[in-house]
Amino acid sequence: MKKYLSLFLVCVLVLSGCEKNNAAEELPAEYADYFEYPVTQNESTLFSQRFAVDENGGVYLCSHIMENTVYGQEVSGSAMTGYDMNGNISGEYLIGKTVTEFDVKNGMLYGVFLNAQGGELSAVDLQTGSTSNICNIPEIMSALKCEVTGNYAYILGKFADRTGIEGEFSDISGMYGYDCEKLIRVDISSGDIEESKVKFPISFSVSGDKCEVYAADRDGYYFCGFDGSGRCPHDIQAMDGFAMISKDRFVFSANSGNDMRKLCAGSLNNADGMSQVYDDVFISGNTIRSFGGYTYFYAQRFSGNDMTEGVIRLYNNSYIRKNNKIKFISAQYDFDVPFGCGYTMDYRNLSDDEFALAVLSQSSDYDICIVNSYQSYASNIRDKGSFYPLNDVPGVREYLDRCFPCIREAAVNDDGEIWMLPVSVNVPLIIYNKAACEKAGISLSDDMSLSGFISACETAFKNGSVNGISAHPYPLIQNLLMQYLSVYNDLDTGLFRDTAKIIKEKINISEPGKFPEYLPAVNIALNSIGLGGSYDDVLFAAEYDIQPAIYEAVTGVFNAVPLPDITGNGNTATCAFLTVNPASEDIGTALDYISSLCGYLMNTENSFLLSDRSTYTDTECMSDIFGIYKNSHVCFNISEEIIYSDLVRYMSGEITLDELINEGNRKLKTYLGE
Amino acid sequence: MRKSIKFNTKCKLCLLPSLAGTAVFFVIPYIRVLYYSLIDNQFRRNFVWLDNYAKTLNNEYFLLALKNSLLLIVICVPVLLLLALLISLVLSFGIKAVRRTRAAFVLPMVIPTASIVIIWRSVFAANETVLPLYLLFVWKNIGICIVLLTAAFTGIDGNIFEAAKLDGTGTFTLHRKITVPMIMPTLLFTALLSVVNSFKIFKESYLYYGSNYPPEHSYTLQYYMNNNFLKLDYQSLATSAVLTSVIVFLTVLAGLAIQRRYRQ
Repeated sequence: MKKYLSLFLVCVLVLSGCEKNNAAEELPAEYADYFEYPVTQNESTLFSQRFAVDENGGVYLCSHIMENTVYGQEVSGSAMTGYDMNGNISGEYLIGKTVTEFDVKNGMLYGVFLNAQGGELSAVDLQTGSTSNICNIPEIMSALKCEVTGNYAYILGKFADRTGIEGEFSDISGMYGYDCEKLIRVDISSGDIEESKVKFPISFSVSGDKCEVYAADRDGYYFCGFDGSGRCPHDIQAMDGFAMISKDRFVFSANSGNDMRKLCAGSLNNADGMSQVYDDVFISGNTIRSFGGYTYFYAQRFSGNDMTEGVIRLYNNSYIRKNNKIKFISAQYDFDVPFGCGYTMDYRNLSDDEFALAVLSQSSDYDICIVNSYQSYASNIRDKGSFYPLNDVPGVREYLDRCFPCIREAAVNDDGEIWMLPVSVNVPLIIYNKAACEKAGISLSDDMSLSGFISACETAFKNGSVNGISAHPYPLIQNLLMQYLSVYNDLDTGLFRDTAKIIKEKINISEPGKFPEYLPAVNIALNSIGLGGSYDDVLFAAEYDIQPAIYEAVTGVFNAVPLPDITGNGNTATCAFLTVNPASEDIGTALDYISSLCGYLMNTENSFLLSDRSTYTDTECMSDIFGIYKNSHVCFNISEEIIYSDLVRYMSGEITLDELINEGNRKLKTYLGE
Repeated sequence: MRKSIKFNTKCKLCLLPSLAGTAVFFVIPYIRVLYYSLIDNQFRRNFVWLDNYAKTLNNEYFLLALKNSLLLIVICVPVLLLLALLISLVLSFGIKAVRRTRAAFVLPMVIPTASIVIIWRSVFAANETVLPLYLLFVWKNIGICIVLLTAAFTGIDGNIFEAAKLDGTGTFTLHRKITVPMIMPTLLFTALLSVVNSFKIFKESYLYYGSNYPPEHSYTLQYYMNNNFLKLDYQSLATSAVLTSVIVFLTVLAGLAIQRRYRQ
C-alpha cells in the first residue's frame, strides 16, 4: 500500500512539474488579440525604439534620458517602463547608463553597454538597480539585437574585427551587403564568449533553448543553428529581422518588395509559403519578439505628415492562419495585390486565353480571381454568372454599405447578387500647385474642357523647363475613349468626331513630341516629397494611378481636379475586384478570407473605396479628390482593339475619320451583337 | 469457330486503348459540350433545352459566320480539287522535267504559317476583298491534295491505259472516263479532307487580319467561337461548336453516301 501511495505521489509531482513547464511555453489566450503599448516621451526622454519581453509576457519599453549640454541634447541614461499583459504599468526603472540592446528575464535586465573599449554585457537588477558586469565585449561597434534564454545571452552586433572582410560578400540584387555583423553567445554564469560559426548573419531569434539564425552566403539565403548546422535554404531577400513563433514557423519584416511595411509569417522549409499578417506599418526588424503565442514588434505609422509609434502585440492564432493558402489567378500583368490577412497567398499571372480557359473550364485550381474593370472580360464574369455570390459572407454587406454608392452599385448585379468584392478603385485626375499655376497663368477647374486642359499643357511648356508637368497622352486617350463608350454605342456622333480631331491634332501619340506631355522637373519635385524637396517646380501632374495621388495629396500643398469630362456623365472610375470561384476546392477558406479582407478594408485609411470622409487625411487636396471619387461611376471596358487600334491608324494618317468611324462601328456592332 | 472467337477477342483488346483514348479525348468532351449547350450557364446549370440554339441560329453574326464558312467551302474546295487534279495529272503523266517539280507543291505545307502571312500581306496589301484568304487556303492545301491524288494515280493498272489507247481513246476521254472514275474514292476523300481543312483556316486568317474582328467577308465560324470564348460566353461557344460539328458530320455523311453509291 505504501509503495503504491509513494508511486502515486511521485507521478503527481512529475505531472504537475510538466504542467508548469507547459504553462510557461504558452501564455493564456484570454488577452486581447491586438494590443498597443503606449510610447510616451517628453522633453527629457526619447523612446529608444527598443523593448524586451520577459518570461511572463510582460513588456519593457526603453527610453533614453536626454540631457542638455553645451553640445546640445545628449543621452545620459536609460529608463525602463514595464507593462503587464493587460497594459498596466508594472514598474518604472532608471538605468544609470545608456543601454543599446537588451533583454529582461526574471527581473534582471541583460543589456549591451557601449564604452570606449568596445562594450560590455551587464546584468541590472531592476528592483534594486544594482549592476554587475558579466563580460567585456571588445571590438563591438554597435549592438543590433540581444536575447536571453536559459543561461545564455545571444548578441548580434557590428564588430571592428570583422572589418577585414567587409564587402567580401553581397548578393547580386544588391539587397544585402555584409557590414561587419557577428553573432556571439555569452554564458551568463561564467562570462565566456563563444562566436557563431555563421560568417554572414543577418538576424537571429531564440525560441526555448534554441537559437535560429538567418544568414547569407554565395549559395543564397538560409536558416541554420548557432553553430551553422541544420542549414535550411530560404530566400527572403531584404529580410529585416524575424522571430520564431514555433519550432518551424516565424514572423518577419522586409525592407523592400511586396512585403515591405508588413509583418509576414512563413515556415523554415517554406512548405506553406508566406502570409501577410499585419499591414501598413514600418517595422524595425530586429525588434520583433515572440513569446507564448504572442508576437511583439515596434512599428511606426504615417498618416499624412504625422508619425505615430508604438509596440504592438498580436495573438498569433488570431492573425496567422496556419496551412491556409488562397490561390489567386489574374490575367493582368501588374495588379494590386490585396492584403493577405494572415493567409498564404499563391499568385499566378495568366495570359488572356489561359484565364478564360481556367474560368470556363471551372478549374478547381484557383480560389479567387482578381480582375480590373478596364479588362474586356470583367463584365462578362458578371454577365455569365462565373462567380460565387457573396451575399451571405459575413462582413461583405457591411463593407459595401460603407463604400461609395457607385462602387456598391457596380458590385451588385441585376439579380441583386453581390458578385464581386472591390479592393481598389482608380479615377484619373490632375494634381496641381494652385499658386504656381496662377503665377504661370494656367487655370485648371472641375469643369475644364479637353481643349482647356491641352491649352494648359501648352502654356506650361512655353513658360520654360523649370515648370513641371506630367500628362502622358496614352492614358489620357484611353480615358477619353472609356468615357465615350460608357455612354455611347455609336461612333458616328458630333462628339466623337470633334474629340477624334482634337486627339489627332493635339495629342497624337504617333507624332512624338507633338503633345507637351512631360517636363522632367515634375518628377524631380514629386520624387522629393517627404525628403525636403521643393514643390514650387510642380505645376500639375495628371495622375492615372491613385497611389501617387495620395502621396501628393497628404502633403497639403496641392489641389486636385478631374480629367476633362467630354460626355457630362461624371468621372470614370476603374475598379480592381475579387470574384470567388464557385468550383474552388476550398471555398470555405476563400470565403473566410473574403470576410477577413472586408474587415481589413473597412479600417484602411485613404482607400477611396469608403464614403466616410473621416477615414481620409484632412487636407484640401484630399477633399478635392474625395469629391472627385464621390461623383464618379465605375466603367467596364470593352476590348481595346475595337476602337483604339483604328484610332492609332487614324492618328498616323493611314485612314480618314470616316473610315475610322465606319470600321470602329463595324467592330463595335460585332462585339456587342455576337 | 474457336479460332475466330479468339481472333475477335484479340482484336477488341487491341482496339481498346484507341477506343479509350477516343472516348476520353473526344466522346466525353463532346457530350459535355452538348450538355453545356442545353443549360443557362455552367455554374447554375438550369436546363434551357433548345433556347441557346434558337438564340444562336437567330444571331446575325453566327449566320454571317456560317455563310462565310459555307462560301469558303463551296468556292474554294472545288477550285482546290480541280487544280490539284490537273497538277496531279501533269505530274503523273507529263514529261519527266515537269515531274521533277513535284516537291515544290509540297512546300506550302511545311512553310510556317506566320511566314506565309507576312508574304501574303505584302503581296495583297491593296486588296480588300476575300480573295487573299481564298488564295491562301488553296495554296496551303494544294500540296496534300496533290500527294493524295498522285498516290491514287500510281495505283491504277497501266494495262487499262494501254488497252484504252489501243481502242483509239483520246487523252481527254481517257482521263475523263477511266482515270478520274478510277480515283473517285480518293477524290471524294480529298474533298472531305479539304472541307474539314476549310474550318482550320482560322489561324491563317487571324494572323492575316491581326484582329478578332476581321472584315465581314472573312468573319468565319471560328471567329464567332473564339470571340465568345474570350467573352466567357460558354453557351454560345458550345452551341455554335455543336452546330458546326453537325454541319461537318452531315457533309461527311453525304460524301460517304456518294462514295458508296459510286462503288455500286
